[in-house]
Amino acid sequence: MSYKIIFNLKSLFDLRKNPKILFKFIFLSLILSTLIYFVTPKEFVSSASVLPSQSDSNSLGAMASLASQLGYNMNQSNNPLTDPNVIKEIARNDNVSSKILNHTFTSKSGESKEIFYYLYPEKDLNDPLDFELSKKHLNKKVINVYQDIESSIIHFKVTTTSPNLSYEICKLVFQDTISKINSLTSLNNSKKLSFLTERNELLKIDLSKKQNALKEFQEKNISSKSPGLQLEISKLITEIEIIKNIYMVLRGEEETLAVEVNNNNNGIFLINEPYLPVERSFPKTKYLVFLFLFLNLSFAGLYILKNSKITELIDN
Amino acid sequence: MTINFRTVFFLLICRFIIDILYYLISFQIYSYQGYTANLELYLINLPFSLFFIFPFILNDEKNNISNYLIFILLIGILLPLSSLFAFGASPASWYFINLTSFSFIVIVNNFMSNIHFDVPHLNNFALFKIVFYSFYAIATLVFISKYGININISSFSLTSELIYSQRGVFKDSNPGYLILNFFTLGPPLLFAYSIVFKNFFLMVGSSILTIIIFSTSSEKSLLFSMALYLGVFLIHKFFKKVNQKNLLKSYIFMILSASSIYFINPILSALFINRLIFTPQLVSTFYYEYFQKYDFSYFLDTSIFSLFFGKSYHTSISRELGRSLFGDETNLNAGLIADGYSKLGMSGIIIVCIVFVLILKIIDAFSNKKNNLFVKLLMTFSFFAMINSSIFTVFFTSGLFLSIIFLILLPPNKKIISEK
Repeated sequence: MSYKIIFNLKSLFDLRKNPKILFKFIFLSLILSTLIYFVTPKEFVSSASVLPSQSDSNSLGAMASLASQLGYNMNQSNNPLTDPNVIKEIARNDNVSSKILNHTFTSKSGESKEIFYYLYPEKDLNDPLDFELSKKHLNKKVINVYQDIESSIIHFKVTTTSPNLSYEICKLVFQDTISKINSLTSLNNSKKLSFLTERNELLKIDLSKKQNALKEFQEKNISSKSPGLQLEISKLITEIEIIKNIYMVLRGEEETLAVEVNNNNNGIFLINEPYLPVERSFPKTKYLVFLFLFLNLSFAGLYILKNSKITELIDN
Repeated sequence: MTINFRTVFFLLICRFIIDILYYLISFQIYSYQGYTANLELYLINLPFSLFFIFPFILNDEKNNISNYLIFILLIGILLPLSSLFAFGASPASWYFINLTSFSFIVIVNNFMSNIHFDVPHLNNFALFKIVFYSFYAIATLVFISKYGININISSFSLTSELIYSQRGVFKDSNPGYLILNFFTLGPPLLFAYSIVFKNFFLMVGSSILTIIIFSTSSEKSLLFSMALYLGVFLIHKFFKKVNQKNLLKSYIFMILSASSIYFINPILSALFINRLIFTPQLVSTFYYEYFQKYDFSYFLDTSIFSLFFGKSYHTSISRELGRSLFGDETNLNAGLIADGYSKLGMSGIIIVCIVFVLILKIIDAFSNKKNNLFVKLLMTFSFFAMINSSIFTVFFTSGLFLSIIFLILLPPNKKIISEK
């Protein structure tokens, strides 16, 4: 069975002869769009950004030269934790999400409860399924951690219906991510440091033993100039030199690490700190205009369709 | 429903050639891009992967322009995806989502073909010619004033470094919609017009335009689309009836020709097979996996929606995916279905499919009684672009909107003949 629709486009032009209907359409569109505009939940965005030091030189671009002008060496760290992709993953980490949801937040009205209940008032914090689903939702819809297109800057963006809540979550995710990177780096450095300290102590003892052995040997054979004894002395001196060199290298590394362990900025430069959003990010006036135009167009379409003729076509 | 077993036969041949090409060329050379091939899995998945034939069978019921356009996407998206799924390079869920989406598109399109829109036809070929030539005149003037006339034959060697550096310069120049439409649709459409309406002067003009534009933009797709248009024209010359079966024969000939180049220039052949057949579907699989983890774009990655809503997606999806998956500054664009998924998940796919079917209906309604070959050529590029581009991007930057305008202005064939 086939149908033919004859669109009556002329009916739309004929509307100018009937301004009452035209005015009704426009008025209804205005009312509806204003209503939708005010009913649409407001969104407030709080954001922050950091610049990880370890990045490939190609993607650093302008930021790298800027940082170097300010005295920062962009390639100073080989820490994999400051890789932009790793930072993104850390920010989405289970521990970070759990901590945020369990964090108690006091709203403007003085009400104090876990962030979980502000975001998901219908759900139960103690229900493991609700909690897991909320974590997933938080990482997908509320928190956005992404790398800048032109550089390796990492942006943290939090969107909620309350400016204070956005700010609070942004602060938490930002601080937790940075502290997680710092703690993991510090832990790694501490382990390395304790190993180096231990190794240096052993080397120190070994070096001391070898030096004493050389001293004793030289004292016992003070007047001898035989080639065999000279060779033995040379052997002992070489061994001492090798141990001394290893010790000096490891000692230098130990000193650097000792400084790094107490360094709270493990290769991450702060570009923007989290801020309290003053204005809503959505909906804006543009949205109202769009709604108004869209509704007018829809009414026009429906009007044409209403005045169109649908006829059934008989085969052959 | 009648099943054309010849179509099924050619589809099977086509699919097995694709499988062989994937296993012997793409997988062997480009496995670092993420291709996998598990032969044990292939034997298990093979029967399910052959379900891709159903949308083709359904699409065989009618022979409208819309069926031809759907065929382009079935060949470009569903066929290679079924092969990737069989080898385990694409998840079953993503393959079945595509299969269902295309079945939906074909069924709805078949249903819609029973509804005839009475649309006004402009019977003025002179008006069409004025608009057509005006577009070329204005676009050429804007182009010359912006880029000058530059002929660089060395870029035709298709050397990657040369092409990408030239393309980078062009993209940084912020060309704008008119130039983008002119660059993508301009030369092939002029070529199509010249062969359909037998105008030798315009044919030479389109060739010169291709050389100048390619020297400036270095878009390989331009050369490909010229070859494609010639191919579509030849298909219409060789076959009395241009249906799916004959189109499939031509497609088989095309991929066999491309793979035979392997013995002369393996890199060029592998590049051709990989870039045109498999890469778009590998990227669509990446999109599917990426948006399982990250939030959808809610259409805010499209500049027109961002403009109206007053907010935009936080990053460029194509650049972000390029960086995440290949670690470089590549733009990874996804085709029709993957783009719908990135916008709103399953609901996004449904919306995109509905928009797609509506566009098909508009094209069918306005192509009635018009020169079938010219209408096909008019629409081919835009629909080919949908294999690895968003439908909304194609609308403005790959000339779909412009093509529809030309289609509306094009008078019925009888009118053109009588005017001549």
